[in-house]
Amino acid sequence: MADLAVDATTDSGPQGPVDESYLKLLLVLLVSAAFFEGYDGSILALLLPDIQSTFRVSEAVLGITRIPIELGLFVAFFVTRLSDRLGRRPVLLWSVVGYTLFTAATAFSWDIWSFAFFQFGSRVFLGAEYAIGVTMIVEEFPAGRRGRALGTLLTFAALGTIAVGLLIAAGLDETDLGWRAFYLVGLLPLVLLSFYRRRLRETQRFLQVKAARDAGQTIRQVPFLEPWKAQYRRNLVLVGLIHMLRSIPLFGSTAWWAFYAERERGFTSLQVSIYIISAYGLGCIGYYVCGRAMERFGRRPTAMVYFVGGIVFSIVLFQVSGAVISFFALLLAVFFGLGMGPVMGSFATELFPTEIRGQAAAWIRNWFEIAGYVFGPALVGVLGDHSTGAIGNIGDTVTLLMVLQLPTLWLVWRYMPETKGLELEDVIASEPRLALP
Amino acid sequence: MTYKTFGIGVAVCLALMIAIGFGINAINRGHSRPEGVAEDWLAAVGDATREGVEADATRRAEEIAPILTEEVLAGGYGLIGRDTDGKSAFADLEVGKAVRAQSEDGTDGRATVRFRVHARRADDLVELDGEMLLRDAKQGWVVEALEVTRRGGTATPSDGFAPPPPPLASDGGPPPSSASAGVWVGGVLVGVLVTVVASALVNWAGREPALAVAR
Repeated sequence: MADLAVDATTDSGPQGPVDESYLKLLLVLLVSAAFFEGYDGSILALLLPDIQSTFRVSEAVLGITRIPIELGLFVAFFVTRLSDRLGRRPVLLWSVVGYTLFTAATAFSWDIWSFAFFQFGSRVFLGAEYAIGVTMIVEEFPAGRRGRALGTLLTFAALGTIAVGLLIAAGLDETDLGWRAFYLVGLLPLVLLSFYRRRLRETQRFLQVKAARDAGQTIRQVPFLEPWKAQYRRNLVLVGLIHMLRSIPLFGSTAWWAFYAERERGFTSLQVSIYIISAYGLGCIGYYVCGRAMERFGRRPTAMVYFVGGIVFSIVLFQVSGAVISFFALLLAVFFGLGMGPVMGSFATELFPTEIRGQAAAWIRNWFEIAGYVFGPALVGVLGDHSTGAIGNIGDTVTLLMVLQLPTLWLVWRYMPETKGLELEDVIASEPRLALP
Repeated sequence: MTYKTFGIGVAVCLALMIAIGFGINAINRGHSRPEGVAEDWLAAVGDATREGVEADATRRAEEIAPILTEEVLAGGYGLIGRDTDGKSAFADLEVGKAVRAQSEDGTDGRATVRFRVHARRADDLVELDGEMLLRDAKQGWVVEALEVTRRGGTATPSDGFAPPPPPLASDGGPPPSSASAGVWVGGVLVGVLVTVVASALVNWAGREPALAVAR
């Protein structure tokens, strides 16, 4: 995440008026980053058996290859930081190009390791694209509309998953190209977006800082380790741990559900795609409800309810065999498990003052949460391998990993401050005045 | 925090990850399940008709079932359709829980396992049910015999293998394998341990909440 800061008072939106039509255009262009984050991740999750068949590798190898793939999101942290030096717009556009090239190359993978390499590159640029997109929204949208804009961004990630389900239902995986076609289809809108993104402007805040830098003024760059300073460290560790402990079972379960449903519950691939489309479509409401609930009831109670719901319905989903119960369990697991994105986002931003907010959010997402992307699917694959895994069962392995979400309930209840109704501009990094619950 | 402290922290995390990796490798060692081998063989046999990976898939199938694979790929047992249009012979597959038994001479273990595939037949899919007999050889489980017991809902003449395997999970049978009670207890203990460690880390990071509000 970009960490540019002029001073602590510049958080209240752009320095000059940004016209309404441009904000709409900006949002439309940036949601593609979120959409393809969901789309790309879902190809791996939903077509895992096909990819496994093509490359003829065990579940364990599949799980292990997820490690280098998802480490791309970690590298994205450093690419994103370039946007503080070079500008949001050029790095965003180059990220689109990079993502496009690596996605195209993925379709031509010749073995599991070439596949992993191309997906790693794709993740590097996709992660940077998404992070810069969030930064541009935060910098260009007025404070009162940021939450809705970010919520829209998250919703499109879920729509990316639905799109993959629709393409499976349409039989794209049955074509001669199989799963490779999904990566090629992903290129078409990206090529168009690469063209239309030329209408993107540099953010006013970056231009302001650049002008000051060109004029010889000293611009304070937030150091790499700034969020680890004593006054921020507690919140960083707290929020980081909550993100990490949530993401390991979350990404372990989302990456393996389709495989589990087919191989351990006997669902057909058509059934899987129908379930995904329906459950994700309805489950998206979880984002909206979460946003409303955290404003009305507060961040902490909303997070507690969503955590409990996510754990319970994920366990039901990976333990029952009945088709009807599975459907509703999947719907509610998506509603609670993924739908709590807004409240997790508020934890990652609202607890930090303006001058380090972006940097802190980047640490939380690209260092702590990345553990889930990397280790969640790998742990499930290695422990749940049907031949050699210690547990030998994907469903039980995911259920066991859900235990890791239980400590998050304790951490939220015991340590998390409530920020309901708090204006971002009011959060400063000085004397502690908020009482712990 | 200084860069030196940060470096130490990263090194500690890496060491922890490596230790966890070794730990998982240790607890995985020695597991070999007939259900997983049966699934691997079906996936390999299915892919033997898939354009581009035929040779590799055939080699893998032959490693698990040296004699049977050739017969199946030649059309025996009605498992593989003639026209799969360069796609995998099976749209999806499911393997049930295996039942193990000693062979008659008591020298090695045997296992029977039930399976179901949706096999491609031109533009159609046909549901096939069957059973496999596996033997625990020196190099691991190998598929020794096969019977297709049901095609598209119609029973085919077959005695099946003894001991008869339980129904598939989708028919109400048990899952291919399950975590033991000890694993579940261990999981809960790990959860408690993680809670304690996470609380300690938060307390180490700072005693006071760093959030302040400008009024």
